[in-house]
Amino acid sequence: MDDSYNFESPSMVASSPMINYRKDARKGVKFSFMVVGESGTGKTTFVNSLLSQKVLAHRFEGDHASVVDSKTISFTSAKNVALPNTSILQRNDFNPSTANEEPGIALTETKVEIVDEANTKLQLTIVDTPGYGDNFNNEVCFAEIENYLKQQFDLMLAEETKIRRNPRFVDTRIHVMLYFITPNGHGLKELDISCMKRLSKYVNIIPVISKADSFTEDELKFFKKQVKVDIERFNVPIFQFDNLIDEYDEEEDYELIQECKYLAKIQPFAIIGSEDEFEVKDTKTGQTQTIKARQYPWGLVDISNPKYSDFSILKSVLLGSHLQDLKDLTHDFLYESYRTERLTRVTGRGGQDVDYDDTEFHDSTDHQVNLNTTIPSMSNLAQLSSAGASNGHILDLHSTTGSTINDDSSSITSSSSKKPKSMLLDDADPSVKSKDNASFTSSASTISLDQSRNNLNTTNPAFKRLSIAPQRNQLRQISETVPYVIRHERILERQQKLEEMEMASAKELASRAALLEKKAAELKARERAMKKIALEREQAHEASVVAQSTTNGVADETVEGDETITQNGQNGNISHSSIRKEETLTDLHSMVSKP
Amino acid sequence: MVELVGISNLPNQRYKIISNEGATFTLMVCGESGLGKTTFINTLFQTNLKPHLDPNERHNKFTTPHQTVDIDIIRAVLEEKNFKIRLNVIDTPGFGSNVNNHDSWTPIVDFIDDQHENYMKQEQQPSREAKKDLRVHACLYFIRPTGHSLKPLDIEIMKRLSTRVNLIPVIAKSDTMSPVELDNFKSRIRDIIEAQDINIYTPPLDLDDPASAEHSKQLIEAMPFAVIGSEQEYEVSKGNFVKGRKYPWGFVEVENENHCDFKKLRSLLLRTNMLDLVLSTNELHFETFRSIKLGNDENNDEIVNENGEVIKKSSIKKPRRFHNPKFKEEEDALKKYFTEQVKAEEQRFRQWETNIVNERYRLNSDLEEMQAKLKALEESVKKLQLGKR
Repeated sequence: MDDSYNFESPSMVASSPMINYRKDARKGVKFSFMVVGESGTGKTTFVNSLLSQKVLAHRFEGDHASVVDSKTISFTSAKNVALPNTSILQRNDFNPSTANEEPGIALTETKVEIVDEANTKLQLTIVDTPGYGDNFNNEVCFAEIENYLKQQFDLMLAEETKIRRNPRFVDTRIHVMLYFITPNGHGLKELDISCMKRLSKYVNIIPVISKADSFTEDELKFFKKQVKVDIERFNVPIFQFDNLIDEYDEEEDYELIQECKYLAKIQPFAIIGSEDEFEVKDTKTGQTQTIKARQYPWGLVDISNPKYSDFSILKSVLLGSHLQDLKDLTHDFLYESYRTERLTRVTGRGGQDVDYDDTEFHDSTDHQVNLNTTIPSMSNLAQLSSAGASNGHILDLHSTTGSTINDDSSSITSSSSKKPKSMLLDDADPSVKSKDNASFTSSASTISLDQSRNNLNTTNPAFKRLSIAPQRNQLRQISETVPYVIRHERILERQQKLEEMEMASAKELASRAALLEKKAAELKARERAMKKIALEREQAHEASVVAQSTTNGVADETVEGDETITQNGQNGNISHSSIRKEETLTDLHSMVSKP
Repeated sequence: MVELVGISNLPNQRYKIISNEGATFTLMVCGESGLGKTTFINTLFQTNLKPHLDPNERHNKFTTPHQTVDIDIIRAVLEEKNFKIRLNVIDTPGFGSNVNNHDSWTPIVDFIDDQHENYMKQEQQPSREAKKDLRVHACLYFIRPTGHSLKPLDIEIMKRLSTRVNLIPVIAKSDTMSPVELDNFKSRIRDIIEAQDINIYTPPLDLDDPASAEHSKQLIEAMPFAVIGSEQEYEVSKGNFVKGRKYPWGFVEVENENHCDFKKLRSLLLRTNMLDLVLSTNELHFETFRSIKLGNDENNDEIVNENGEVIKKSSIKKPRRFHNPKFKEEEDALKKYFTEQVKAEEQRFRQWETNIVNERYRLNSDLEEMQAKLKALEESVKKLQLGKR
């Protein structure tokens, strides 16, 4: 492997920027990550070996095995059915008879606090997704994860827009998601691609090749290449280590640039995880050393050996060099775009709820366009106001919006296009005046906007609601309504989900009851048949006894023969049908497990 | 010494016939992609029987990430010590690699049933000399080495396969598990197989022959077999080449009993139990299929009364081949898309229509206005003319 950049010691948080350092040192750095991947790809082992302690319990290990408590925060079963024996709820007990049931998916949250050498506290939140990829239809899995990620953003958004904020609000957004790729040697699967594509809007994704010890060196190289090809081919947006390179200073941050380039080159990371520690004697120095490794009959795999495992690189990236980057990117980019989208949606609707007597179509659209562009953020407002420093600009803006509207829907073509034209004509005169105004208030751009707007208002009543006073009201209104709208939506969603679940469970239970009844009826029928046979046999026996006792020769003998023949026939029938019955039972079983 | 009559020579005659005719063996490999099925087949027969998927080819075929389950058949004639064996290897690429794997087992199960049915039909023909027999004698199901347990999908397909073929579960790529992990994993799988009533193939215990009984017992105990495949040979000692996988941390030998169960599995498949596999397919699975099939056709009404399930299943069976649920889903999706498109188009047309109506209305009003203007002008002209006069 390329050793152009040397990862000496993965010092934990020490490399995060100094500005944050002091604050962070006091409060501790908060960082949340999520591990997603098919079960059995070594997620638990990775987390445990990353933190050098038993944080998550392995499957079938029992809850008591982990040091830290983890709580289940969300859970969906595959069929939208909450049945007591669905295995995910009791995933830690191994129950072979229910192993055929689809587990659904759960999200569990575990909080850990670790302290590194520099005495920096790091508060980690780890979200695990047991059950991912175990269902027949795994659509439910990423729907659930997406829902969870959105919910965290919503919570943050609601908090942000509130007038009175909660000082103890905890940011639960997930900063990075480690996606564990199953080491199949071919490339990405549909599940991987669609999951990563869908979730990339809400979280930074770092794909990771798990269980890299199933590859020889050449195979690993090949697989990495394939994964990269697939990522490119299907446009899977993953976390790019080299996207910030341009921002760094070529000379000052030379090392940083090298590091990022190196990381981008070796991505996706191939990792091996292990919780077992072994003492190894260095053959040269003779010193003993404790390493985490996997013991095979054919050798010992050191998980931090850079020759075949990127484990230590990933560790330093996650908990050190890129921790702050990941956090910033989540906040500045992912959250921001989510917020914009979300607020446009909410306020777009909310704007119509606010009762203005919108009589003219043109005006309402105009109003909405402005709402969309100005409301979402204060920075936008400032931008707009500076643009509005010259009134001609605003007029331009209006005429363009007007014309685009005309293009969009030809229904209002000329009849309405007359209006703005007339407005423009009306405004032409005062605009000259306002231009003067604007030129000498241009330093205080908001005021200039206010004035230019006011100017417009005085001349044309249609622009009244664009003045700053109603806008403040609107901002206030947004901050009052948005959190509730968001919460309301969430509650509605929840309710719907629960209703669906209830209905599905009822249906499932009914069908199960019906099946059981059917089985019971079948068993009864069988019992009756058995009894009948027993009776017949007895009769036959009696008949034969009678026949023997009377010793009445030929006639009775034929009767007996007839009897035995019928009996035989029946026996044959019975055994035949019993085979069938077993078959039907297995089929029933499969039917039960199938929705 | 009395000369033997020669009856004891019958086995030898049989031997001659068989060795002249050769034998047919059909092996199916089934399991998710990327578990080393191809490699295993090549390792097992020590030839390059099945070429690996060309990665470029894969991308040509693989325009969307969604894949369908295919059935690939590879035919080969292998010869060892002048004895020929016609080998059919059936692969099922694409199984289990989609997001929605519902009914992805149908093509596989249908394929097996089809072979049984084909064979049955050929048997019923007046002249049945040249029978084509592609009945699956053994099916290896590859289990992903997760270290947890079986997935519901695994259980589902194993259940279906186990009633139709000799099913042999195999833990693929077992070199990713340490011996302790492997033991746990194996015992869990065994528990599930037992609890879920999956009939896996067990070699017969021949009580008369303690040596072979012992061997069978060993085989049964080793189920499910943990295997490692490799096509590459490495020189372990001078002039001694061994198949294996070379890792930076060590060398895994395929044929080392301490490393994996490959040798046991090979012995089960080829050396000791091949005949039993072939015979049990004919006697057990084919017979079951036949009796269900024929039994249903002949005395329909009798069985309907008692257990309607079987009838229902087999009568559905036939049309089902044309109504693959997978296609149904696709059809639904397409239909939905179509109606949406139609709706959108209609919406557009309606919009258009209203636009046109509006336009007409506007033009009309313009016209009226013009006319009114014209009238007014005419009026004024008249007035002027009157005034002039």
